[in-house]
Amino acid sequence: MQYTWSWEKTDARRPGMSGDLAKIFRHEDPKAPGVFAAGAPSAAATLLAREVIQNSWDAARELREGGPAAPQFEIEFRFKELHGADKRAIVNALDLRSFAIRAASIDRRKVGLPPRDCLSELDTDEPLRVLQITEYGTTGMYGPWQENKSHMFLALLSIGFTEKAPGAGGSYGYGKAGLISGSRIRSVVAYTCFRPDQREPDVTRRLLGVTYWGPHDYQGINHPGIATFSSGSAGDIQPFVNKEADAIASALGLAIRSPARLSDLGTTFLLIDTPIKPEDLVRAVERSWWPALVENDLVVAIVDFDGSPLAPRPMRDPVLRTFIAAWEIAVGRSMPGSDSYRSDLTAPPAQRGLASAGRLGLIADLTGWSYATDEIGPNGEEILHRSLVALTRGPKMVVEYLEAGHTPPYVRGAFIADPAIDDRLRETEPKAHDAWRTKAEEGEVSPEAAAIATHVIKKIKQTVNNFRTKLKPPTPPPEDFNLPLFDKVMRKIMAGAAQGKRQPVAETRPIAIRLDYAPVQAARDRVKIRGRVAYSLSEHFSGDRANVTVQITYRFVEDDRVGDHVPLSIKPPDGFISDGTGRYAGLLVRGTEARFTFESEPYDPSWSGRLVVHGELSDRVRTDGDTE
Amino acid sequence: MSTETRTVRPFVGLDELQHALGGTALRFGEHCVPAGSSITVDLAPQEFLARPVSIEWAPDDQTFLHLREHIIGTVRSADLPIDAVALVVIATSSFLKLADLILECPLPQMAELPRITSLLGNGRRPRSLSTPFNGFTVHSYLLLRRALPDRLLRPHRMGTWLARTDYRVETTLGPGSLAPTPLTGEIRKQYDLPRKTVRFIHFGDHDPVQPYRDQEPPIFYVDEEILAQLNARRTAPTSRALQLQLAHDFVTAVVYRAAASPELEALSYDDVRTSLLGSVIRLAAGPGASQAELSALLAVTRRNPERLIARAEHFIDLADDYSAILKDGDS
Repeated sequence: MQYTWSWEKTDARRPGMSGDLAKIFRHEDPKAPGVFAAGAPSAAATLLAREVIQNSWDAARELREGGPAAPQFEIEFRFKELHGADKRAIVNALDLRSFAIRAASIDRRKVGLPPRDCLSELDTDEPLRVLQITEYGTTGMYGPWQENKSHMFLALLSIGFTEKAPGAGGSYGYGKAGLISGSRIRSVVAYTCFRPDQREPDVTRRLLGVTYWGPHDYQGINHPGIATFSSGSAGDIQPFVNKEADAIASALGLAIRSPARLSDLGTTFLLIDTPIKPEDLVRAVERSWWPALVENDLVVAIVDFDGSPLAPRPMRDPVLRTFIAAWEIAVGRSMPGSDSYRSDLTAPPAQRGLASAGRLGLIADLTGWSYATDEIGPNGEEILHRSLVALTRGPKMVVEYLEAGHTPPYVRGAFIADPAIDDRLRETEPKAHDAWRTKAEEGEVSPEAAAIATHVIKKIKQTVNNFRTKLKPPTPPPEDFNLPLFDKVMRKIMAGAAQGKRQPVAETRPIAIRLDYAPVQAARDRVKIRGRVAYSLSEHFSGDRANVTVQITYRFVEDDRVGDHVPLSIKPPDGFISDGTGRYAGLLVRGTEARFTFESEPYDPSWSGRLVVHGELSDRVRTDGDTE
Repeated sequence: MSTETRTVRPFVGLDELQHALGGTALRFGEHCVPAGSSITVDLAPQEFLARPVSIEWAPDDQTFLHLREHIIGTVRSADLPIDAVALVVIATSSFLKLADLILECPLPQMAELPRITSLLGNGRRPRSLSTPFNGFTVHSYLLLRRALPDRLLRPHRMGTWLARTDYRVETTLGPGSLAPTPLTGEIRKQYDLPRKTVRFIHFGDHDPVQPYRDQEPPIFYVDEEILAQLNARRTAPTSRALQLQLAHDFVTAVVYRAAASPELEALSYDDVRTSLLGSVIRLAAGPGASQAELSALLAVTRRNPERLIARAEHFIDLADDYSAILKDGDS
């Protein structure tokens, strides 16, 4: 039986999803800081390597959690050139000619197709290049289709949903952009095998093809660009199941999976007309996944078009080898020496009871790359050398090579986040999972998660800087400086060493503050601070009345510096009104005091706090005098 | 603007003790460093290393006796065993990143402590006090020398401090100058700077309100051609005036960057003391400034950074060199 594609139609009565999902990652080239500018893999290969492996690896970890019998996770990327009958079989089975006809009558650029692709060569002798991705040792894309709980639905047809276990690498919604990047015509076929679900006990395999083009008009009808290859129709997508799915998979040259065998659980993807170069994918996998490869958590096999194996081997790469050496120090398998360092970073203040935020291993090469001067890579790339730290967490993918210093000596390192903060760090990651964001963003990054990311990044940079300082040669003697006067004055500035006559700093505080406070018991094992603040006009203010703004804050002290805020309950005097940001505005009259009372929330008695009480003349209205 | 800042310890009954060490002083040769303050010395390394270092607990024997009685009385009235508390002195070198425990005197033995206690031990100078290029800090503590039963609002962990102060000796030989780096065409391109930019201070990740030594220093770029000219005529009046102006530009950049820091509002002078801003505040405060004056200048940074810059300008002393070039030029 000949199946074909069903194109969704734009329906103003229903929310629509454009098929041009690749736009999500457009203009977001993968980061290649410092030495990684040399020989950087393409954006498409990097996206494919990061997103596809991440989704499969998350499914593998989920299977492992289900029992110790789970097989080793493996993922194979097999590049194939199909000729003659093999090519015709796929072209016919997937009805690719219908795409060619449609593409010929629409603006290819607008829907995201390149100027040339396989659609103009379907009936020529040109080979059809496909990429077959086969995963083993995962759960497969399980879940009942009708309840929209199918992981196949989430992976191929939804966007923005995250239906994954805590600690997982990514969200299904954006993973599909990785698949799309592997097909010039943006067509993906997924054949998956999973354990039966009690809500759908008879279904163990599904096959679905999805094509993601941009919105377009075709034969007078507007389409959002999503086409599906299924047993259903537009608006009623029904993946092929069980034997029908097997039969189509077989027609596409995919190995049949059996739910009876644990090793057969998993998904096979077929990406049509792939632009990815095998050696490019090898580099992308090595750069993003070396921690998991080193730990033998996953096996990645890449098979070139000619059938030769191209296993990623990060230890072959002299740059990655240095990061792996730092990793070995971080995990404790290597002892730090004179040119390396290991540190357990202090835990974020909000993580009471946590011993460490994670482990950091650092290394340097003082006779080599730590003082690298080459500015041009082998392919003419501009290299701006940096100290770099590979940031990792649970899934052992390199989230980012964090730039931690821009002057020599350069150092390299690996940071492994403590599992206790894994979910918070994941929350801070953007859709490409390539950074830990330090600014809270409503609906995306909570202030708590942003604070943890800020703490981690700050501690990493501090530790790197301290290590670099230790490595630096001694400061040159003063006689080596060429501008003696500049040098002398800068030394005075840097030391804060003023010379000459004393110059008293005038007392100009317009508002006098009287403060009375004490820590008190709040509950059996908690304390709180309670106190009063009285504001009045000081002798330095010349008038009798003034509008003022006041603020009372209380923050924990961590390492002798202020940290998290402790919420205060503040009772203002009559006439003082809160502006909603913790400030109070009101009128001060000479001879009277504005008395505030405050009380903090209960907190752990191990902490000291910093009470800061401000008062200032209001910028907006001042009456009867001004000290400025 | 008026600000009051207090550090709140989670204990009761020890307020009196918190300031018990406030009347002590460090003696560094002829220099006296009152508790909680710092001095900057301009000494040759060998002279620095030859100077005796001691702590004067009180100006006379009678006051010292009162201090001992006050400390022991307050500890007793806070219901703490006096043998659980010790007077401890630690010297630190942030440059060497080390701390030396110099003195640990349990309170019951305080009567045997000399009023002026040498910190040099038996002739062997601690490494932390042997830093003529970078100075040192001495910290005095009253702290718990052993753990006590856990009681709310009472110190109980070993090492918890009940009172503390510090004394800092800085040196004009350190922490080193910030040598200008030639501003080349490549660097202009890197930072997207126009061709006629003469100077550029690249802070990178450096935060001028955070400890200087914990961070990568900023880079002070000066046009390579102008730098070469300054170098070639380094003692000429114009070169001298420009060198001073460059230093002043650096101060200006530090102050404005610090003033824009969202963290500054909650920081005390002690928080920024070891930062670039702390250095600029000390410079602008002038010699002999009190802690209150330094704190007042921190408040000035928040609300009126131009005033801090103007005060710093006085101590950079541009006026004479400006006058020289205006009157006579380089002839």
